[in-house]
Amino acid sequence: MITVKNEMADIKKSDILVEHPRLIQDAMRLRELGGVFIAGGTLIQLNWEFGQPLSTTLINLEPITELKGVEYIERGDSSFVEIGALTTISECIENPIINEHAQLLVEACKKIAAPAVRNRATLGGNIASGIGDSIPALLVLDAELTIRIQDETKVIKLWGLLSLLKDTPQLNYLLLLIRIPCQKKGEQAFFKKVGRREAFTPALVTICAQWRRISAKRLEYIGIAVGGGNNDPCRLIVVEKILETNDFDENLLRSLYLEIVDEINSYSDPFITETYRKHVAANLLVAELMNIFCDKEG
Amino acid sequence: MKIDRFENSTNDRILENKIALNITINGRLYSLIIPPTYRLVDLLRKDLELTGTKISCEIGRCGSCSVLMNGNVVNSCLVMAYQANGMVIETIEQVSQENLHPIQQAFLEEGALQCGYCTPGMVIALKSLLDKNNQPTEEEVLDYLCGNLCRCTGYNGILRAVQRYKNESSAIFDNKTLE
Repeated sequence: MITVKNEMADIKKSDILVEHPRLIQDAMRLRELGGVFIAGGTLIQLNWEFGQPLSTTLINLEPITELKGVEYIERGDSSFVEIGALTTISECIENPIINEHAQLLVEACKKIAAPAVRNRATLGGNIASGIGDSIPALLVLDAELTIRIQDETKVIKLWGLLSLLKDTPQLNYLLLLIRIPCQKKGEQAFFKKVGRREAFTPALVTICAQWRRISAKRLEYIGIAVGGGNNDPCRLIVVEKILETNDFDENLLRSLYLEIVDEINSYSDPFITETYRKHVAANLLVAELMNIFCDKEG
Repeated sequence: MKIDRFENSTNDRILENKIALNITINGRLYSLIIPPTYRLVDLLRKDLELTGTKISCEIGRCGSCSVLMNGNVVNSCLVMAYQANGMVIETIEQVSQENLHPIQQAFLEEGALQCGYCTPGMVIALKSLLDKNNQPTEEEVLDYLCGNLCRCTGYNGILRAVQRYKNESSAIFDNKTLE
């Protein structure tokens, strides 16, 4: 009988090599050789402690200066906030440009982990995890990502990258930049994270929305996203459409509740069932929708 | 100072896989030769015997291992050696080098510690907050301490200590203004 030795099982933390490329193309070359990108490293170390196999090589992205910085960009009638992937979660909370033009992202970042973790973790890392709490907010904000795949730099919508990763989870890409359209006058938003206790904890479910009203009973548009925990973050396209094309009343709310439960993809774990998570999300969303339509000033 | 605790290992690859780490800890510069992924918490506790920094969850959830890195609170269990290169680290030993820090004094006076295991991390996190804003609201304090877990005091003593610190520092400020 031939046995194949599992090399990964023999790797110890002290065996791990760390490379420090200064250029994006060097980082990509190291990735093709089998290394793993690391920025703040908070999630990688969490995963190690939970028994995920160790990688032989870490590619430290911190020396790549192109991945840093926050800028306000105006192009014609449009304006954007561009955030380097290495920007820490704390920097996102404190940055005046992000505070002025993408308040929803600030609200989301305040709910990610605790201050000591936020001082190390990066926005790029939170997105690249595929399950970070910033993702629902960025989906609602219609964020675009600049990524490097092999030798090409591409711009792709966040939802586009998430669906690409579902088909090709081993895709070799490096996230360079997050571009968010500036929030416009009259737009309102909320972000809610529900965990198993009040202090910092992984989410059961995270919901957020951004909307603009045209009358007391009608929204001009609404974007709603659900994520958190190990939920696949997604926009609730059907629910959004119903809200944009119907006047609000109690009957609409009842049918929306069922639609929300139907549209969310969730999961069960040993503690919480998929059904429970879906109902938590639906309850929260319906309560927030009530607030939107009962707030006459909104 | 040079720490070479790995020299006796039989694994040549480990012996080769080391970095030169220059790090300032509590005002003293250290030059160390260690593996790049060696954790800051292990360096502090095992190699430098700075055991005031505690270790518990090892995944950045409990805050027992909090230290200041360039003035910002971080979990030393989540900082690897290569990430700490060139950084300035302050541990609980530095905070009370000569006298107790006023927040430590307030902890004593308000009975904010029971077993005391979480206390160094709590003090470090609060120092980080109070250095930036010495009159935080209760909401800001609660938000700042959300990554520091205590299973003994129930947090009320800790919040009383912060309130005492705030009262006393605002009284000092008022006296200075009157002068």
